[in-house]
Amino acid sequence: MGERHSPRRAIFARDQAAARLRRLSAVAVIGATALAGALAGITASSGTGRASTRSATPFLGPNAVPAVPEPVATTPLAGAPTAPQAAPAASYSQPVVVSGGS
Amino acid sequence: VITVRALGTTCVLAARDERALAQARGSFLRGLRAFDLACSRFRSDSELASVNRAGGRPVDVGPILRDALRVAIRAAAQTDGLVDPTVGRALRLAGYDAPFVRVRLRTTFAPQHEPAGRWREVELDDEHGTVRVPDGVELDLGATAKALAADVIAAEAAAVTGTGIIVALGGDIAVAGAPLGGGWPIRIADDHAAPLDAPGDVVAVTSGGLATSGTSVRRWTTAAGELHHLIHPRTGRPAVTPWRTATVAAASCVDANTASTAAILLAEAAPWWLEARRLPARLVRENGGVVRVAGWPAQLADAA
Repeated sequence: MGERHSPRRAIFARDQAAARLRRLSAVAVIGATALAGALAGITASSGTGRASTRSATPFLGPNAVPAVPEPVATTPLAGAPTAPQAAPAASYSQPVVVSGGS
Repeated sequence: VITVRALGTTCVLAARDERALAQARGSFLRGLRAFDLACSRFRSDSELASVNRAGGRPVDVGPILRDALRVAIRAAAQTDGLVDPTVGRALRLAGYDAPFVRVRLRTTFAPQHEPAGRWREVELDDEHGTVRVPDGVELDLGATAKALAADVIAAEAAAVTGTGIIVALGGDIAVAGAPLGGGWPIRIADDHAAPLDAPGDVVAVTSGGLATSGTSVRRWTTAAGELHHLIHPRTGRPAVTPWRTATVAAASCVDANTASTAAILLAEAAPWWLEARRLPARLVRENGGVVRVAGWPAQLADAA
């Protein structure tokens, strides 16, 4: 009886419990990370709306030159609007067109 | 330069030389007609009008509307739903239910306001060539379809002519092919119909697109006061914003238009949002103050 309740045995039992807790925590962290990854994958693959990413055919008919870039197909579905290759530069030439509200 | 009236706005085509301009004229006009037939909210014979009145049934549509819708859905995803193709009903209830030349003549319309935000429910089926929106949802692609038209028509015309082309559809501008030396000079103004010598920045653009969105041009009077066409999808009301205009340069006109529309709706967060995406932009406050971000150039008058 005195042996069962000795301080050394109590310390040993506490250390064992702490070790089990650490193992459980590690398993929980790994599991949560895997679950988050899986959910992120599902979210990414679900896209937006129900739009397919396949590009449609050109609109100008059989006589049109086929080399028309299709912004829809070449830009990722999500993400951000893409920055220009170069920022506009100040110009002191006579303008050709106006950009304004319409 | 060729100028025509189409898509509810002024449309301009310019090329590096007269021969190329004449060559590109046909594809320019065909492209405008094709986009109008596919994407107009006010033509009863347009594909978009058919989708809006289908009562939730799938509708057979052509590749232009499918592409335009795909671009619009992508714009919504890129802006956390701010640039929303399902604001058609909110616009109609607010009084923008006819070509703008008619809307601006009315003064007693009683507006209602209904949130949008249902762009994730739009079904686009390339396999069967159909589009479906839920009953009660109405599409308006005004924000992005015109920009897509500019991109596509400019690319087509540059391919046909083998030279530099600039297409301006209202405030939406696309550049393709080899540009003029030093880039295409573009005047930035509140109104796309401003004269070429109006006050404002002039910038040179060598590729991609540039777009201006604003609250000062497309405004109409109702029984509840004056409204503008940039509807915030979360309220169904015209956006409350400090910006009179937002002009953005991007890799394409669609991306520029997406960002300029979002900038108006983002209000004070717009400079940060644009800077984070490295999108050069010029924002004009209601009081005329100009904010330039992400490398938008200062003008000679500013430096003096």
